[in-house]
Amino acid sequence: MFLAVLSFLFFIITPIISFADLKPSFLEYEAEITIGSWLFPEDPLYDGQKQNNYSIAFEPEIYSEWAEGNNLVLRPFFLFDSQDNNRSHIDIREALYSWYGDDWEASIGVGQIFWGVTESKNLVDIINQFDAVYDPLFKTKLGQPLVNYTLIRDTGYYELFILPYFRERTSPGQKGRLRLDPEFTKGSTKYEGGSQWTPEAAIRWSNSFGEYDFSLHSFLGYARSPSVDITLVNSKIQFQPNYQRVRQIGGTIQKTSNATLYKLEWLAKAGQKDAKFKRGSYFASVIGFEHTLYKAILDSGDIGLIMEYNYDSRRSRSSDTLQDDIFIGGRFTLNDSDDTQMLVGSIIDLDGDGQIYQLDFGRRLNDSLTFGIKGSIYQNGKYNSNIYILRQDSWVEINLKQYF
Amino acid sequence: MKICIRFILPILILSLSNISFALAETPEEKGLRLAIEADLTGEGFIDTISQSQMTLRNAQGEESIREFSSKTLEVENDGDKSIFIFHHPKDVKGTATLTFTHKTGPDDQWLYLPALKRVKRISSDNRSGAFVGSEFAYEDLASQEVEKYTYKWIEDVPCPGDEAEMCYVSESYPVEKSSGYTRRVSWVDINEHRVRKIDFYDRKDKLLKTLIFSDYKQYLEKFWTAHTLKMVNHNTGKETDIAISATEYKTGLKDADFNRQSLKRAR
Repeated sequence: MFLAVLSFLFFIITPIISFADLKPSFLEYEAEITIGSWLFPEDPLYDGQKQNNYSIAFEPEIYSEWAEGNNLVLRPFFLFDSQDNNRSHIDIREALYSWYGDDWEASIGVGQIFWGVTESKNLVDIINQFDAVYDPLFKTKLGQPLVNYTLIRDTGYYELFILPYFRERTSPGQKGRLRLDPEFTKGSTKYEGGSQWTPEAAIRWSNSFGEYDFSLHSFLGYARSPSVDITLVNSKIQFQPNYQRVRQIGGTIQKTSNATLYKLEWLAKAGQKDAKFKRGSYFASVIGFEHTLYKAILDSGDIGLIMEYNYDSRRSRSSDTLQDDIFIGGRFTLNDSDDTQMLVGSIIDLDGDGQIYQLDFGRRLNDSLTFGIKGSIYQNGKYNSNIYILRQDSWVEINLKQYF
Repeated sequence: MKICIRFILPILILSLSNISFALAETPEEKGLRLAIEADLTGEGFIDTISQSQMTLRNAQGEESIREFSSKTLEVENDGDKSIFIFHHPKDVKGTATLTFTHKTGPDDQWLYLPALKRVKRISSDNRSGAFVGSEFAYEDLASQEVEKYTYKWIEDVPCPGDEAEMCYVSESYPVEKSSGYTRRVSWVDINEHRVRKIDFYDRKDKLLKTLIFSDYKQYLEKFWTAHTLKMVNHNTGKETDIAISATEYKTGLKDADFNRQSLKRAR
């Protein structure tokens, strides 16, 4: 997979470099090293799993500009995990060449794109695959090979994406936690109706009108989350990830009204298999608000109150954990010189399928060092539900990030 | 982090045009006239780019440094457009905001988070909040539109720290209820409309902070810019200094440099 990405990059970057004036007018180098530890208070449930693990991640970045309106960013990522070989991996987060004029921008290479407005989940965020083994809170993404063209008009931003290569979601190996039992069989991934090289395409429009921000998109390609094929090999059960081609439309609305933000994300999708292996169409949405109480902590810190409802028309047949769930969260921003921030959230399933509690805390220790604590608690899942499978895997991550 | 910067231009760039009205004025009329005169003399800068360093100092004298740059574009018949980019400390490097200031009504503001590549529309309602943990509130750094205050002239006195110059002392009262102040008292020199000092009074009308402007330089034979700002909080003993290391006017920035696409490129 990594080789495939590299060869894609080679074809993309080589002609650009050879045509460009080789001496950049601006060059910047920086890097991050993150040392992290995952602690699991409860014993592992499944064969081969280890208790705790340690990891070190290295992420350098080179940014260069040639003439005005031309730039290249290179950002590889290296992760070494003490226990799980699947978690140790190399990725190219970004290797993107961009050029732009007053009302357009084009880019080619490997990029990171974010779509969405809500906090508990971003339904519409389809371009990049998640790096699920590195970040179980699903905020970190794998680099996506892409060609993008964006037009900026008075009527909005128009974006076109061609995605020539599909990235499989990273998943834990036998020694790793936060997985199915057994873990996904290596090399068994299926891409229904094509291969990883079957191209995908997306278009998007977005614009602001006063206090409203809107977006609409359409996507043709592989669903980012796999369904799970169950097969018997030598009378042993095997789980195999299976990605299906989907057709999707979706959109976002945000109203920014004084201290309160009202948010909606929605999509309608066809072609994806549900938890009962049935292919069909469905509608899903996240709707909610975030209200900020300014200067509520020590006369300078803010508290943001977040409430969102996650809906999925497949209900219990949905493979998504958030399908009829309320997210209630608090964002605490102390506004101090160390930038202390904390997000706590609870996800409550309205069908009685358990709760998830989440924490994400961070602060600066000095000008080039930050400290973070993250974690999740999985509770009271119904038999064989996603939360049930993770019932022994509640976790805490403690990390230190050094910037160079 | 929520950042609200239209930058300090309008309070920094005040230049002369002191037309004397012979007619009798009330102190309120005189205060408003002076504010309009000061505002007019700051007009016509077209665009500006500046680099700044902020030093936060607590009561024990411990310091921490922030570095940022800003780009501002003058907009006819409305407030300015601006982009503000953090450079230091490294964990917030690349974090940027885009603000469309409006003379009336709330400003439009977007925040770019480089780690997530996320552009977030944010509320501009937090005008009394502390800017990145400093002693400056967002409203202290925001574009000072005349319409956002009412005024009252108090007296003419020698300028604080510069007895050779005469200053007018004027009070301004914020229109917005979300302001953290009941009033501000400003010392502005009569010759060039340069702000020398501002006292800020909190919601209980108690003296909260004092801001001193110094190292004024004139650009394009018109725009006066203070290169050193010192804010002292009388409640906590904390201080914040802003040192503006480089300022440039009329650099040729365009409207196209101030949209959500260019916000993502800001470095």
